[in-house]
Amino acid sequence: MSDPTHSDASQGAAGLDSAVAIAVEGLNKTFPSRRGVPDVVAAEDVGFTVPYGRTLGIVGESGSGKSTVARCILGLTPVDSGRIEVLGRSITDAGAKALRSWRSEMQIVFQEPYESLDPRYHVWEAVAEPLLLHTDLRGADLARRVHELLEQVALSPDLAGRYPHELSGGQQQRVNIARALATSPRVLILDEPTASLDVSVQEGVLRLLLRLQRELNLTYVLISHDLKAIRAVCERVAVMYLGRLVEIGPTDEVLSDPKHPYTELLIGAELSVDPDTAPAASVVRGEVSSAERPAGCVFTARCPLVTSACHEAQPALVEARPDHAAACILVRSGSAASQGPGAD
Amino acid sequence: MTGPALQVRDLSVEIAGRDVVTPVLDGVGLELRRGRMHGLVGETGSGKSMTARSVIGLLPPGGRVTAGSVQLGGRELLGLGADELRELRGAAIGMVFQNPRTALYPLITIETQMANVLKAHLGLDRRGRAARIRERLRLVGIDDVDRIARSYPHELSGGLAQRAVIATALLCDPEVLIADEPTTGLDATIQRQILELIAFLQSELSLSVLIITHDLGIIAQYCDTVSVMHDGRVVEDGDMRRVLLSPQHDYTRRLIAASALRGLREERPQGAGR
Repeated sequence: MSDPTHSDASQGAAGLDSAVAIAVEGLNKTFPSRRGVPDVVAAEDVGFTVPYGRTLGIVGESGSGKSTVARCILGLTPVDSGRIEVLGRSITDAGAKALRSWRSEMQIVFQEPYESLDPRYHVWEAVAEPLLLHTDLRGADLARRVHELLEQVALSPDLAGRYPHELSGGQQQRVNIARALATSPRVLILDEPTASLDVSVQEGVLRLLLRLQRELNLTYVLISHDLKAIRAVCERVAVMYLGRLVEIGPTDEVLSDPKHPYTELLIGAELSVDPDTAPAASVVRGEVSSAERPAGCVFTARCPLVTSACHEAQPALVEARPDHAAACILVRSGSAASQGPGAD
Repeated sequence: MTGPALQVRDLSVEIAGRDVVTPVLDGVGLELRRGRMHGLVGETGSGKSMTARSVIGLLPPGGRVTAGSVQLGGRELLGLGADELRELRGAAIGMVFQNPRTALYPLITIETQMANVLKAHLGLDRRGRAARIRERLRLVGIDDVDRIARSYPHELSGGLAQRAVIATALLCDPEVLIADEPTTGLDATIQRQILELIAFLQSELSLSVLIITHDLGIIAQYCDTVSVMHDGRVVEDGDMRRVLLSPQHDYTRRLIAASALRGLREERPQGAGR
């Protein structure tokens, strides 16, 4: 089932809503077992929408499926079932050729800024490459556009002749962002774009992404395990656990008044830089294990509030408040938040 | 003994490359008091890991201490021979590094690697070793110790592997535990478990812990004292609450502000984004 807060039945298929840049509905993706390794369910019945010019954050631990969902949105990973529409086009029905021609409109920025760059290309060549591939710009026009892109990501033209290893991590990531912007995309997937950067550099890169979004009306999906980055950049956030979307809603509300016990534990594990703001007293037990997928709720193995009913069926996303849904049977009775795991 | 567990004074280190000699530490000092947790915080290239490596005598190729002193319980470590340093590492000083999978040798079981440490440092027989290994695994919160002892590193999750590394570091009852980014790369909930474990061990064993991290949140929630490093120098140090709540140095202030990412929220598009 898809995000109930955004699936308006009167609009039929999600993509028909002209205000929606990305629509994901009933997405399923399982990576089949290899020798000794059981099937990995990376996405199960995942659905959400992202309006134009907005940012959805996807937060979760390793194995939650957040990167798989991102790759499916770009058509880089084929889905098992479900519908994905980006900018009004069906990604899930498109062939390889169509996907390639649309790629200029949807781009991705990865976590490792150095690994994402070709060590043989200096900055100017790296930024010019997508323009040579996807546009007819040549000569002076090409140079003008490269210069403009460097300016947009606040990279000094003096760096144009530098090679990736001669740049700092933050500068490398700015080159990657300039490359991603080269073909004037409207959708950017940001997969942990600041995870490997120093804190002082993270802030600069996130500030840049916010400015570019305002100036270019970009739609973002920000994948991150860092709640501070999610809070700073995303108006809405989706929380994933073992391939399931367990909670979705406005960031400030989800992170201050979580409705799913897992979200609450995730917030409780955050370590504030303020010594007077202690993390939750209780520490979540166990670890994420995709090997033992339970029959009922995916979080039963680690949930402090687990009841016998939780083992029976995977709970659906239910609206706890307008625009804020969680997949926990306690949401229906409205008790998940009041007797949260922090209290035990 | 009442002096600090570990004291570094005026430590300067340089690394000789092909053509140039680069100074990497410049007059670094720090004091780890007995039974306390001291944080060494800084960004890439600040010298925090280099400081830790100098303490245990594991400088990278070309690295050289040019001045200073490193004392463990009053005993000078600089100038010790390779054999003496090897004896210290893993015995008087336990070490935990960032990636538990690379800290563990992939081709032998947890039990074998822990037994190798015991053979090198303690005169225990086979049964004594097996008992000691299980006792230490239990201490770090592992329940089914026999199964974990028989496991190979790749069979363990990141959190379990880091617990096994910590158990190994504690085999010979070290006075000082040096943990270099012990939770970087682990998921948030697992990071919390490992930090709680280190804090528990610190009080249970009266361990003195030097934790090296880029994460001010770890400092704020777990450390008694802190040194803030920048460009090979300690720019500010002292009581954790004093440093974080009323920082004196401009770099400390900037690091705290950037870590909180507070300044950005006004720039975020407003509303719920419907």
